[in-house]
Amino acid sequence: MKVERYILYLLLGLIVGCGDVLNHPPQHLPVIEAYFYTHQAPSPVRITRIAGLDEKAPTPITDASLFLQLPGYTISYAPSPLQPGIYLPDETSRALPGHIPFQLQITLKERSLTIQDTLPPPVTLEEVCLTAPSYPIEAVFADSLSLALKKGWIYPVTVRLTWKAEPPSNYWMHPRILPPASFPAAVVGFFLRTEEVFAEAEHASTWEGLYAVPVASRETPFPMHHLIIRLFRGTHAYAAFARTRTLPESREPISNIPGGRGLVVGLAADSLHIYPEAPGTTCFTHE
Amino acid sequence: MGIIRRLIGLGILLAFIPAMLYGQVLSLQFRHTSLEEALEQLAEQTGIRLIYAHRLVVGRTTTCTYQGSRVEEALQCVLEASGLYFRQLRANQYVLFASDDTAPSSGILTGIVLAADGHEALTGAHVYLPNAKRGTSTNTAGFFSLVLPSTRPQRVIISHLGYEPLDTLVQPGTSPSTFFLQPRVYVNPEVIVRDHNGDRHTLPGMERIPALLWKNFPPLLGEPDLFRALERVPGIQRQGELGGEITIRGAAPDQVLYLMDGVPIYYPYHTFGLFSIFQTEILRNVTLYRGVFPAAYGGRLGAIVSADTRDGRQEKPEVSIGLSPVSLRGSALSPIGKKGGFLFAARRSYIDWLLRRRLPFQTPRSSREPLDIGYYLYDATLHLSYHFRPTHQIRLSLYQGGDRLWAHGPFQALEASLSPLLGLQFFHHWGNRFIQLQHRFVLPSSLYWHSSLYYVGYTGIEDIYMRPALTATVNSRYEVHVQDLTLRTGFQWPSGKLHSMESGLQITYRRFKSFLQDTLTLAPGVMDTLYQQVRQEALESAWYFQDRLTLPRQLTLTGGLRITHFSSGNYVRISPRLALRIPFLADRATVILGLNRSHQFLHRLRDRYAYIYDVTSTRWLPVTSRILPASATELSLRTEFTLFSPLSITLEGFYRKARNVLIPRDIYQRKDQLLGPGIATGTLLQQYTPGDNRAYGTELSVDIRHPPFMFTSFYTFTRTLLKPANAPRYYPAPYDIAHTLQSNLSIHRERWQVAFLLLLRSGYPYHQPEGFYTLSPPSGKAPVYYFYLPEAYNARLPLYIRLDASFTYRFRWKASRWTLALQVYNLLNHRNVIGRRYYWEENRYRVQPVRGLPIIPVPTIEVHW
Repeated sequence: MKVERYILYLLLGLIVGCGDVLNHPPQHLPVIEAYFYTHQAPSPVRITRIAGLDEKAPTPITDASLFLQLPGYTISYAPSPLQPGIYLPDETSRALPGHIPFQLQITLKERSLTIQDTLPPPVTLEEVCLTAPSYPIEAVFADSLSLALKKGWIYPVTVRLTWKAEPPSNYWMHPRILPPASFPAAVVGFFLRTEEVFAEAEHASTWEGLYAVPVASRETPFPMHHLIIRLFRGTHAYAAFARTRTLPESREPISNIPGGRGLVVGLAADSLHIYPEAPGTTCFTHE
Repeated sequence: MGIIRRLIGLGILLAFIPAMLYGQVLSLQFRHTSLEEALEQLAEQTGIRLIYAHRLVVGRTTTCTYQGSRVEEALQCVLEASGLYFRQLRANQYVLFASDDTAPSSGILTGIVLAADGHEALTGAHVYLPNAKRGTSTNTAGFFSLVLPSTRPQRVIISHLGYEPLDTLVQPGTSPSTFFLQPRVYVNPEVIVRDHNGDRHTLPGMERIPALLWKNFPPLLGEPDLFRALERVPGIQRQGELGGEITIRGAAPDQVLYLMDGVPIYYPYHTFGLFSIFQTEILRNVTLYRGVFPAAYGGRLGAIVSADTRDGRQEKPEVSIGLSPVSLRGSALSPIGKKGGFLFAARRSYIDWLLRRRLPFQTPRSSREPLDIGYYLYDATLHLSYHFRPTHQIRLSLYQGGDRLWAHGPFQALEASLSPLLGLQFFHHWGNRFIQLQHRFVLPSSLYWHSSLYYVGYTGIEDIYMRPALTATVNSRYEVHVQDLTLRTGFQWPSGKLHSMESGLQITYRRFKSFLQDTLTLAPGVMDTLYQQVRQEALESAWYFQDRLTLPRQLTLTGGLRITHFSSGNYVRISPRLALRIPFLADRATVILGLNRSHQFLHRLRDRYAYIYDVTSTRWLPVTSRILPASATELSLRTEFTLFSPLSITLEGFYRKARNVLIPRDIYQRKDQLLGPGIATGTLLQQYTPGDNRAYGTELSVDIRHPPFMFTSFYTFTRTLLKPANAPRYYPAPYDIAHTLQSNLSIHRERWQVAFLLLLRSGYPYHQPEGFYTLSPPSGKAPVYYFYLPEAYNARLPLYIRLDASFTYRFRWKASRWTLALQVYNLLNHRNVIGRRYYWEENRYRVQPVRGLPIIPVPTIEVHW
């Protein structure tokens, strides 16, 4: 009888001893955002809290204290009186040097944070060459899941960037083309390359991208438009963020804030605003 | 008459005097009377029925005087000094036997159970000794061995669904006996699949289900399917609403081993998990192992589904043709001579025949131009068998099946103004094939020996070419090949009164090949290419031993050991298995406790970036020095109560912990680009991280069979949790379903059947955003709104409710049997929420529920000749 009693106890335990728990209480984590650029004055820092879905906007944190520590000196930050959640440096005259580590120390009400990264060496776009065909190219305009196709015409424009390499480099490059508007057709959109993130050491100091300018018909001449070319050099933290930031509805970008969200990184950047107006190959430089 | 007696060796005396004489005073007086005559007189006076071999009584005499009312005493008196004994078989029935010193001392009964109509081996037939309350079941060759309580003749009952039970008396011997079961004229197509003869089971979590039942399940979209029926077993879930791969007790799909006639199938699905590759009309039996695996099986952590097919040995040819909305299928079984058998079965879906080049695409110009787009699934099975005698057979099996999906043509077919140069062409093919030669032999010493040699292959091909603009193309070909060549041999041997052992050896040479050639042309001169080839090989050797020990008080202890060496990485792993069966409550209930250790040397992974490859194929990677084998330990318990007929209750519990399973490193990563990082092993492994997997749960099922009503219901609670190596805690797996309640009710009459299936289960877990925040890209102006997503699943979809029904009518017409059926999926048309999409619109979040399928009525027709 003893054995039978133990068996019955075991069976009862099996039935009542389990529960279904998905216990993950929501958290209002801090969101910290700062991009420190090489050879530029220290940037403002933005600190907010994650907002509940029913709130209108993230709540700014206005009572934090901040210090940006670089080798040999420290820059303190103070809350902006006009923009809640924005912290301004007390020193804006001194440009940040390149190729040095830094750390941002933040003291919030509940805890302190230290975020470390590196200011990369400066980067300069040496040349940007655009190549466009003389006539527009026929293309299929369709959404990825739609069978309703449309005939469209595009000027595919190849963009070739050249910059000065920084060997040996542990940095990552992020060239980015900002055409006047995002391309309207998803299928062709897959065949465009308007940005890329890659390790500098594994790549030559050139990059080729492609954007397209839709036009009304085969007879439409190449339209003049405004194009922004940007080139960033950053650390792995920035590369991880840049690679994961483009799907805001289905994923969060990778953050380097311990116990929070956002990004505090050092960047070297260069950009070029150009106005292509003719097909063929045209090259641009800062001059 | 005397000759017949000697030939039969068995005499049966029937008493015609009614049993009302029972209890009356008996008066016997024999003096050197023939024993046979005395027994006849006793039977005549008492109305009892005596069973004995004629050779036992011939030539013997008896001297006995008895006056009293007890039959047993009278019989004892008659048999006094004759050297014969008796035992009551049932009321008014006694069997006589000799104290046979020459009988074998082993006390072991071995035999083969065959179908009387065709001598086809019956797998899973129950062999039961009612007096000893001991039983076993036959293996895939119909073979069994059973320890008898003594060397005396025993009553044995052999039963198998679809056949008349055989109730007979057997004498233990050294040679295996052959038992023939007569098929039932009429088989009740029950909805219940659970096998409640579990008191004869020795392993927890094991279910042996005769295919005769499975064929009669309300099929999915009219297509009879094994996996559809598997869902009626507690602990088995689909990953999707309609299709999707199967998870068993929280084991991921790649942790389940699927065997067809003992051959592993790498991808047992058609139509992305909607159907299985197993053709139900040729299935003979399906056995599901959860909890504790037999030592003969290994290589997966979670469960084993073993399906055996028929071999075609029967008295006359049989042809069957079925038409469902999904496929046209048929089978032909025929004897070849007196000893051979032939089976051929095939099926193919036909939607491509109906729709190919006839798709009425609606475009702005109402064009009805054709576009070649199609899909079909197919299976073909061929068996040739030869039985030298019932205990010696050889069989050759071939199988090929797969799926083909293609589309090619210019976009002009959809929009006439487009250039014919712009278009799309893709072709996907994936499938399995095998060829196997099996040999089974039962030696006179009751040793059952089996061997097989097989080649099994899996192939996945993905070919795509697309040109959406005159200057842009993508051209990709991706191939995956898995090939196994296996030699397996083993034996079963009832080595003593208390032991029944089996042992075997398996050597498998595995080869894995993957190939990718991609060219992505964005514009003239702007081109990306990928050319990668991966080839891996491994030799896997395994030896196993298992012993079933019969202990006092009817306890049964099954212990097994499997030792495996995997050459890639040079791993040696030992997998012990242990199960203890304890009957209690006067044998009306049974508890089986189990401990199982298993190892898995293959990981199934998929690229998580690229759109154009690794989409429909299944890629397996063998372990290496960098990829550790996964291992799992499982504790399980099964309790069965058969308190009174027709109610039986089963309660099971399990806890399994697995290590070194590969978990996606970034759970939010989805395929989002054309080219992706490639197929190199290291690249693929970077997308995964090793981790632990924990699953536990309880399953309670109730079974009531009271013809014409059948009712089964089960409730399961299961948790499946994952923990990547660096994660602080466990979190729910994507297929974690906590609560499931399923009930089946069927009413069956001779010609018609109505069945209902009610399913209520927890929704799947999902990531519900808990908030939002904004970030600005560097040098950007407009902030981007991001959802704050939890690291682990934090919400469940609403309760999933569905009621299915089926109405079946069977009749005969012109020497053929017809079945008309109407299956109704989601009879209540309840649109379950099967997903939720969160998105931003004008800086406000929105939620869009993804609904499940509405009511779908599907008619089917089937005819048998």
